[in-house]
Amino acid sequence: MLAAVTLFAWLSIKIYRWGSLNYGNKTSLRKIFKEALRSEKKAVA
Amino acid sequence: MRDFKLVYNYELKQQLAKKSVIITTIVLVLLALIGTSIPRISALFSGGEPTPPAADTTLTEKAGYVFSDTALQQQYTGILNLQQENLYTSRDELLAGLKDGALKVGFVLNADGSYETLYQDKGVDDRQDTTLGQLIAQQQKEKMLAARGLTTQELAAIEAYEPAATLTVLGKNTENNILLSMVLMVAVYMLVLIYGNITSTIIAREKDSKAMELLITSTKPTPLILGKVAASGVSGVVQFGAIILAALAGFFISQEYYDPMIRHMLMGSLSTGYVLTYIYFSVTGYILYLFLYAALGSTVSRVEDVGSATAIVQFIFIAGYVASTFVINSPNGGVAVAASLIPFTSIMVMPIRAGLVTVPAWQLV
Repeated sequence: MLAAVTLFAWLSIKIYRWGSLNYGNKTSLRKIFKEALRSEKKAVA
Repeated sequence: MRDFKLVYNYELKQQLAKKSVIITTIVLVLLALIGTSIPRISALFSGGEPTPPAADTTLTEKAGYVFSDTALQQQYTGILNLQQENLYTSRDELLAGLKDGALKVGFVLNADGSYETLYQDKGVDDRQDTTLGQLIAQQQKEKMLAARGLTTQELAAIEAYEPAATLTVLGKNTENNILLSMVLMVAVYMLVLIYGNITSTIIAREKDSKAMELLITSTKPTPLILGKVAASGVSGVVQFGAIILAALAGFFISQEYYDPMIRHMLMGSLSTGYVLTYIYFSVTGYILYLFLYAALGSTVSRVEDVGSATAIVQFIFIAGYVASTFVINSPNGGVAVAASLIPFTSIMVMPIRAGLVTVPAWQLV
């Protein structure tokens, strides 16, 4: 249970980082996970 | 760490210092306290003395009787305390009395125990026919017992026999734990749904008002989301904790007025192991859902869209609630074990399972 909380906390931080700068674009669950899990380097590039 | 503390303190103050939150909490605390003190309050008003039951007049008030013989008439006149106006000589007289409204009900009794009940109109509450039937049955039984040399008291003593039984439960007694498990499950259900929605709305509002852009430039996302989730989590626990404490205080104040069975159901199952399991799964599950609500709240640009964004989380959570209802019937079934191991549903299912059966230690980690 603790491992699951840690995993989803990490995932939530990634989604929050991406989501907080995402304005006006239509989102879907698939897109949210795909974009949030992209490495920061790729996101910057 | 400094940023986390800053965000946490600010958010906690924002959530707990709101006038609406304070008033709502006070009202709910008072309601919980009064609600659980009702047995004591009602005892104060009734003076603790039971009121004597009113004399039953359903078989004598506006009731007419026709008996097949005089011995039967004498027997039932004594039992029912019948007056002259209750006695009729024929069935036709009874019918006339019913038609002109002098009687509400009429009875024709025969020596073999059979009887006829006559109504002009029969209402839902008119049960004179069954009441008289029970009385006749009692009289007939006494006659039959007397024929065999027995009394009603002797028969009652025979029927009252119960074997001396000892019940030993090595694990948990499901009967005692269902009520407490259900109450606690509903508390967690409300906590997650209310504070999950509050968390996602706070984040979506910051984004809607463009305040998030300012926050993001000065603080990293990690302390921001951790601070917000921690503040929401703590304010939820504080508010619900106050309500539960008030309910417990009311219960302890009035516990001697509660039915012993309810008292045993509430207190008998509060073992340390169960309390720890409940706290562990409720708190970790609550945090898990708050993170999900916070993350999904950040993906929408307008507050109005929060509902649709968080629908999937609500759906999963309600699925856990539904699964927990299956667990009550079969706490060791396949669905129950699987649902108590999946993190999204274990918040609802595991505390109930732990309350009903002995769960293996490896499943509790």
